Amino acid sequence: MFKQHLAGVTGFDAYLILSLLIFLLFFIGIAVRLFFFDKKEIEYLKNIPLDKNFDN
Amino acid sequence: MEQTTVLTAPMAAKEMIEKRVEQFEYDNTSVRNFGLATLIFGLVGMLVGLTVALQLVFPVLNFDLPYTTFGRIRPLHTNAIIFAFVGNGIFAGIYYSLQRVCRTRMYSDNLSKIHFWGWQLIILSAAITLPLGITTSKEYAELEWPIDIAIALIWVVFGINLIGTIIKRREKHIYVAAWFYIATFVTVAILHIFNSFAFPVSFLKSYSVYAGVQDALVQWWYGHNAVAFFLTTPFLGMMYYFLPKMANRPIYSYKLSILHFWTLIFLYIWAGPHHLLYSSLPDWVQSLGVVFSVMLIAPSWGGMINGLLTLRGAWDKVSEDVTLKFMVVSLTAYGMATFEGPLLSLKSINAIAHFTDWVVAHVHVGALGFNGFMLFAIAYWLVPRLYNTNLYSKSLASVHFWLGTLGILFYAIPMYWAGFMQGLMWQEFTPEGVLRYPNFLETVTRVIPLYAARSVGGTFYLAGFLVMLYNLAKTAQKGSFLANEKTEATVYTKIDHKGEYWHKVFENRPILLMISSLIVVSIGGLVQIIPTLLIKSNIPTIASVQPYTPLELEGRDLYIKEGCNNCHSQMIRPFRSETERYGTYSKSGEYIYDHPFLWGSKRTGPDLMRQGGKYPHAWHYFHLRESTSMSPGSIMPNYAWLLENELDISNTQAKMKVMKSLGVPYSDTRINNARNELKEQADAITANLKAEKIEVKPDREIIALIAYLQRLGTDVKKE
Ligand code: HEC
Repeated sequence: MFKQHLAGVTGFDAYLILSLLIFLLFFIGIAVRLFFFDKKEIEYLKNIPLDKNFDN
Repeated sequence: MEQTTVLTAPMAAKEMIEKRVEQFEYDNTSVRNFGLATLIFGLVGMLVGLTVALQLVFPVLNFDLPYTTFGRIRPLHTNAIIFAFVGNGIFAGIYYSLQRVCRTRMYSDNLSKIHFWGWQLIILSAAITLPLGITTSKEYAELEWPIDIAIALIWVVFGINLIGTIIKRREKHIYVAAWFYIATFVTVAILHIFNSFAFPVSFLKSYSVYAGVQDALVQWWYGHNAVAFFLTTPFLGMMYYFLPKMANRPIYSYKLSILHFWTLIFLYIWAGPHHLLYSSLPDWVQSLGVVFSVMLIAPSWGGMINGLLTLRGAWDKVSEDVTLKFMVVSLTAYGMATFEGPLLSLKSINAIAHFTDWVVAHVHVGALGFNGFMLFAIAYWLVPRLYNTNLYSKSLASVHFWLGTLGILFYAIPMYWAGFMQGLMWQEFTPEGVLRYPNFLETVTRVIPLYAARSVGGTFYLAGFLVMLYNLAKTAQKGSFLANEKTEATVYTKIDHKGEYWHKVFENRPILLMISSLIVVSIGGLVQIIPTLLIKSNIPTIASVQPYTPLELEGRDLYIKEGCNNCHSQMIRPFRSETERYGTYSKSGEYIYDHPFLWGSKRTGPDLMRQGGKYPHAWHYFHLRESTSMSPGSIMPNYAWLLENELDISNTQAKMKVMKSLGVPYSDTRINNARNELKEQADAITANLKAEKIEVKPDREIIALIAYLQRLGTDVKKE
């Protein structure tokens, strides 16, 4: 059963393309989300190690 | 989608919720303890490294003792550097930085202690078992099953402490450094567990549940991602904390840090098969490995560039501040190693570089440059702060910097040269169409001067390290240790998630972050590994390939015990230069009974895949007793004790039973009759040796090893 399954996809080009597609979608998702990131928040996040966010 | 107003800015939030200032203390003791362990094991690991390097120049340094031979202590070196030096180093860095970005003490002091002492005990057990030859043979996963279980438990302790700290944080947001730490924890856990699946034979012996090609795939999925998630992600996390601290300016781009975080962890997990190009692994898996390895350069360089650009406009600071100098070289080395990685995974380059010292150079640019230098930078920055004082001597730190940098160069350049030269020599044909260097040993003796040069580089690096130890000890001496550092933080209670973007909710939740990293890193693993494991037809069976005889099985275990696989491969690639030298190329069906696989990753000696029948028994007898007697100038260690030691057959039947349960077709009658079968084969070999005037008892270890060597690769010849 598995064998027949495999025969159709030898070389596994389909696998490769599928994997790249998954990655592409993933990447676009993150990029889009970053594009809409709040500027002030980024400033805040950036400064976390530097203790500048706190008055103390 | 309609836009809603976002209450993300703390200014806005502050007005809505209660604000309170809390006082608490950071735990510096765990940081100091892990730091101290880093320095001690760094010294040990480098000393062992220098020893193995010198053994390849002066084989007498194997001392003709089992415990100190190359095959056994090369894993000691790699384990000491990776898990003891770098491992303790990342724990020190994480424990320090995590508390500060979360503005809280570590979740539990007790867990911190268990984590620390547990990890040191694991290191101790590795330091004892590896020289004794107790090993699984899988690279960077050599430790036997009880230790593997201990590692898993202690790793979970670390994980609880890590996640617990992030959960109880006073800082609303999770800084990107912590993201990297979470991904480290999650992925290393999965890698370790899946690669360590083994069936115990006895307390200190087990067989991998995977065989041959599958075992190789799982192993390098592990091996490559150990590089990614033990040697890279924690370091990037530390970079995102310590670099801004050292330079006193925020990271260049926070968005870039997030983008490269997700792409890095996504892509890395696919790249493992580039360790197995031209092997018997199915082609599609190899292609996936190549494509994703090449893509990996983008997120890797994203991290490096983000680090280096943080210093833009502050280069005057770099020239004055030695910690920043270490940091810059570290990031540069990271950039070089991650540029070279994709190159090495291109098939044409891999064909030359694989199995040579090129790879050794590559990892040392990473280990000495990226990992080592970043840990040094952190040490110089941290120790004065932990001891509430200034660094004892800036000029000594400069001396260390130059010794270290020269050390890396003197190490890497000869090794690149050696690798390139030897790779080409293996492939070179005369105009008449025969191998120019038919004698493998000749390609070895030509690179030995470069091995000597490499040892000089290593010595420089070690000398610099010693200078640092002195400097840090003096620094500690003049200060006083701040075990609990008082601090305070503003706390906002009742944080309302309503009206926030999904990503905000997402980012505020460490558990969710943990699960998402888990999913992201699982995709690549699943796509590659599941089909390879499930689909039998990935491995065409070869009728003539039969299980090992009991004696050969014992011989194979001696091969594993002595770590012969650290110098010898068992994987003939389908090139004319290899088939000419070694015989028919390797097929995946030949390895179906190999629990674990023994393909090796470095050819310091020739491939042994088709060793069977190449030489008479007597040749092996003399060669193992004293390699130079058969191969003048050889750098292979002598294994004279194999002639003396009695073969331990107390577990032979248990071993066969385990193999049987793993799918090796041993019948019950054969298992019951194992001792007789073993004795018969041993007697035959002994008789053959006797005809060559060699007197040896049939129950010695060498007989089993000869039986195994003579079996290697012979099955397909029967077809
Ligand atoms: C330090 C690396 C090193 C280790 C460890 C090592 N060898 Fe070797 N081996 C070599 C080198 C180099 C050669 C080639 C020169 C020679 O014949 O000695 C070689 C050659 C051989 C050969 C001859 C191959 C041929 O076709 O000519 C055999 C067989 C062999 N080794 C078996 C072993 C076994 C078994 C072990 C473990 C007990 C082992 N080696 C451990 C480096 C090593």
